[in-house]
Amino acid sequence: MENKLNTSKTKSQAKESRFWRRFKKNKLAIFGAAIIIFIILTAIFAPLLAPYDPAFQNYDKLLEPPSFEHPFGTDDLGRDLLSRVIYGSRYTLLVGIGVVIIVAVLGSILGFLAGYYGGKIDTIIMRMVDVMLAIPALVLALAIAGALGGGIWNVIIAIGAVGWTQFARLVRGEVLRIRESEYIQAARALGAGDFKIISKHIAPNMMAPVIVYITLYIPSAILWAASLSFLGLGVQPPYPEWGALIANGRSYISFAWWIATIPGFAIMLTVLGFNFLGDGLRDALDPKMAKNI
Amino acid sequence: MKFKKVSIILLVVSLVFLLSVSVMAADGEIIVGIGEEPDTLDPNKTTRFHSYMILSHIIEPLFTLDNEYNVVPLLLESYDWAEDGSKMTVELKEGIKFHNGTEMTSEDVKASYERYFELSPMANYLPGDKGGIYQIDTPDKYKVVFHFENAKPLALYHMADAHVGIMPKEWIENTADNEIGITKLVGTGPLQLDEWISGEEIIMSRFEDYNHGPDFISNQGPTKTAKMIFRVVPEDATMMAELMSGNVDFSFDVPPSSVDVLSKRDNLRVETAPTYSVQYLAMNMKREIIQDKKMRLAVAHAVNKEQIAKAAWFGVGQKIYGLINKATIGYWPGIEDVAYKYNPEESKKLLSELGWEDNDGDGIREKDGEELSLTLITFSNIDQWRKAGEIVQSQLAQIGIKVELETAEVGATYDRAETADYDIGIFRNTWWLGQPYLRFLTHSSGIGSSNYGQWSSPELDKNIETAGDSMSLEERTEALNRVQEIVVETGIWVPLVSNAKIIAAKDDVAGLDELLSHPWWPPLMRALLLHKQ
Amino acid sequence: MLQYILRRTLYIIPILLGVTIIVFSLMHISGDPVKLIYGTNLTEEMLQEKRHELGLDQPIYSQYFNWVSSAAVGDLGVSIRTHANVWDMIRSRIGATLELTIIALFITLLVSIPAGIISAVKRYTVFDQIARIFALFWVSMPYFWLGLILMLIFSINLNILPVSGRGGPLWTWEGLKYIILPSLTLGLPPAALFMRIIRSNMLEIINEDYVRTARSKGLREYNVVIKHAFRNALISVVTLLGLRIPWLFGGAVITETVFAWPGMGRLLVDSIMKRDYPVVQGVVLIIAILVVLSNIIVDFAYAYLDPRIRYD
Repeated sequence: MENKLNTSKTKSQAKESRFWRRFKKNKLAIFGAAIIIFIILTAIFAPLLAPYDPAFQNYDKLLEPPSFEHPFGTDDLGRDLLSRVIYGSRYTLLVGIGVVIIVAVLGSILGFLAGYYGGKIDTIIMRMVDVMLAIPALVLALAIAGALGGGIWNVIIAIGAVGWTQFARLVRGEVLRIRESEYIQAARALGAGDFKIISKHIAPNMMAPVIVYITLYIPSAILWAASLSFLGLGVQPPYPEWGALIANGRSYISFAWWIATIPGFAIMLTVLGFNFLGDGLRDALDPKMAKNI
Repeated sequence: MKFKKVSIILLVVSLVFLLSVSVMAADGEIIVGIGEEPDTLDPNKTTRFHSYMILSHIIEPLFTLDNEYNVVPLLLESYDWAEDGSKMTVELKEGIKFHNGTEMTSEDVKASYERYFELSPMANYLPGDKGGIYQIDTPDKYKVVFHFENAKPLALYHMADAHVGIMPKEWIENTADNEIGITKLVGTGPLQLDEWISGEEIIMSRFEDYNHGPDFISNQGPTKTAKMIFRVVPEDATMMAELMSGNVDFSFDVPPSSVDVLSKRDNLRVETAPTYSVQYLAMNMKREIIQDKKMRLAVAHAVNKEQIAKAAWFGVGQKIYGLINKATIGYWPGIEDVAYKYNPEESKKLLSELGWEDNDGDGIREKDGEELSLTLITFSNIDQWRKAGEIVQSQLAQIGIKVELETAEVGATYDRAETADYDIGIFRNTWWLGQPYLRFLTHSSGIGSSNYGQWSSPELDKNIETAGDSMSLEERTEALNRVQEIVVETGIWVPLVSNAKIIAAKDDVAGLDELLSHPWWPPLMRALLLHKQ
Repeated sequence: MLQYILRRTLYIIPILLGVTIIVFSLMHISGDPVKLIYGTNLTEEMLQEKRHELGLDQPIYSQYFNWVSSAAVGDLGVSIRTHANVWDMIRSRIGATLELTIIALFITLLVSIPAGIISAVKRYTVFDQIARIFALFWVSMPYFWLGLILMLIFSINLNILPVSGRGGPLWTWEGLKYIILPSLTLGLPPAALFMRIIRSNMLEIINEDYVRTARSKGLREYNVVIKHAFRNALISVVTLLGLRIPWLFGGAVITETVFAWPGMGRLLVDSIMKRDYPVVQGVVLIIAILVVLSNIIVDFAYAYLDPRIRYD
């Protein structure tokens, strides 16, 4: 362990190439990454890809089934569903990323405090986590979103506010593990301050599990946001968030099945992509991590 | 000869047998799908349409309305109303029983009216403090005398409203207030409340002692169906599927979107009719931007009602010109000429006159660096309203107004409207009598609550009052017409679409034709007539 | 052991106190409760009077204390909208939710345990591959969408199961047919996760020394797998169960809304929509209590199954 300090550079290089080798071998992970890149490109180039204005209402074409003109059909106000699904990817990615930022910031700060300083701070934060875990996250997110009122930013806040607990636990565990390691003891003995230890030694060592956790957390955030929208507490009409599209199509499911079903495939594809990628990253970084996350 | 006699006897016996079999077959239950669960069945507490519709099977008012809009006695033998309107004496029918077995007497009527005056948010015409009934005498068991402070020409209509239904005095006194209408309800109606399973269904059964159905209904005795079960089916898609699969026998909450599909089913009968319920847009006069009439007219001219009727109502609704539509008492045809026509060019002109121009080419007009943006509120949980909101949003976008659509559940939306926390809103009203409805909506006493436009004028107030209080029918009519004119002319209220009432019934539900002969398909008739064949 | 049970039970008190703080704050992040209840058409004096009446003019900590002390004796207040007693409202819904969650859990285990075992034993076979890919798809589906798809297929197109609502008792077909789709919707997605965990745990154990020893002693492979590997895999299932119970109640909220299942979840969603905060608070509190209690049961099961656990 002692020479880890000296050889960390070459070791990390070796780690990197091993990571890539393992990652590239995992076909599902590559497939997942491809899906996500596809969704991101769709979101960025939505105005170029969408055949129609997603808000354009054509009252002569209400609830038309998929056709050459409208590959995904039209909705109850005659809007082109394909264009709406394309634009919807923006909301889904925004929610996923927004929530993850909140969760990562809140979770890291609280997890760090708990893990690094221990003692009373640790007890208080961990009790808070226990309390939060006693209330189903979705139930609490619903109640908060209801209190704040709908809208995409409130959805992000509501889900972020309840989602940090597992992340804080993870960070705390990692900090504890690293803090006890010999090289941190050594650094401390050499007189390094808290800030230096955290920024130079602890934070870089935590990047791997954090990235894996984030990748695996995004799909949950997406699913929760879609659920909130579906229940009418998320993104408001007429914005074409996928969960809201499904909620809208639900009234017509027995004779216009395409409105509710097609956006569901879009959600599933995105979530699947992140799950494949997350699994792949985890296996490639450290096969043994599987059990901790 | 003997043989002939015998055969006649046999024929009679078998006919009687057949008849009794058919009567027995009329037993059974009808499952009614309802789209919204009542908040409470307490007639003196609720203001919700669905609660009213359902409690009307259990509780009856003194009067009812026949199929020509005439007020006729229901629980009364006769009534006598003094010429000057100061006193009304009613003779109750003898032998009317409550569901708990006691006989209805004058004391029960008095207690019920007093409870209505005390508790009901709907009691804004009859009570003494509104210049109405200040004293109720009960000279004998079957006689009630109502003393009016001022003449109340519309009193009979209000007394025909189930919100002032008759409940037994002793029962009211001995039942906890939070049980009335939740777990228990006792009235004189044709159906009695068996059980209300929250979130699932409300079960009612035949009241065997029922004996006082009004003359215009063919059945005056107990209901033909043994049970009527009101099943809560809160989703449109579910309601439709339940009707298609036959799990629900009857529904008056059929989503407009499904009319087309359901009509094509062999085993279902679907009927639509215009109703007194309307969809309208209101603008909040507490907002500075709305106070300029040009702004209101710009909005009014930009709204295309036909598109709303077509897309939000799937062609089942009809565009309207006034807040009172054809199926409501007090309709004035002249309103057609007052209403603002769809004319987006006019809207654009008005906005330019106000100084709102689109200078940066983003499609939204601005003035002094500020975007022209309005908040539109409406109901999230009723498709026709949410969609009307989206349509108006897109129509206003075409003239350069950016609309923030904020939808919420019905009650929460009205909370915002009452507290003037919105710019424009799309709401609903359901009332068969024009005057009280316009009073509720536009009188100055409603500012800060039911006057969602948050505006009135002395002239408007005066006419509303005349329309309710004058003893001359001509004066009342003229005043009510003037109210309708003012209301639309200001541009604060923009009537949109007259709702359609839609029912669907399985083909084995009998009694439907007679029910449909009445313009409102009232709950009382539903209870007395419908049964399974 | 007894001491452990006692300590574990006592531990729920601080947790529940924490829960009450969160639940209590819910009403206060949504604005002035008096305005929420009475609207703003009251004058300032009337508002003050109402505040006084409801004890809302007291400092926040004594308001909290009042609320907790009445909640502790089962008084959760009355609904703003219907004026009905909140506990009565919840009590009439709780049975439906428990019925749904328990059956769904049963389905989860019924599907995931055999699938996990077979997948592990027949690892890298066609069955294993198909099961794993299926599992990935299942966990990627939104509950509400899965519910709608099942409804579309079985109720609307095939018309063999009812669309929504709740029927009679479960031991009759009339009752059972109503719960099939909701419980599948709630039970199948977690089954995929359970299956993956069981598979990987079984694989680990199958390769461990003592299983190899057992196998070499000539016992039939079937027995080895069941007796040794499965018992150990069960421990991980129980751990996972503890983690998933809150999700189960969360999923129930969505499932109940899709299928109009008259449980607490639908009551919660309705009340949030209607801004009926006393009911929202009551339902969230009761759900949290259910979660905490289920977690204790899981902990005891864990302690019973895993002899290695220390009770101190």
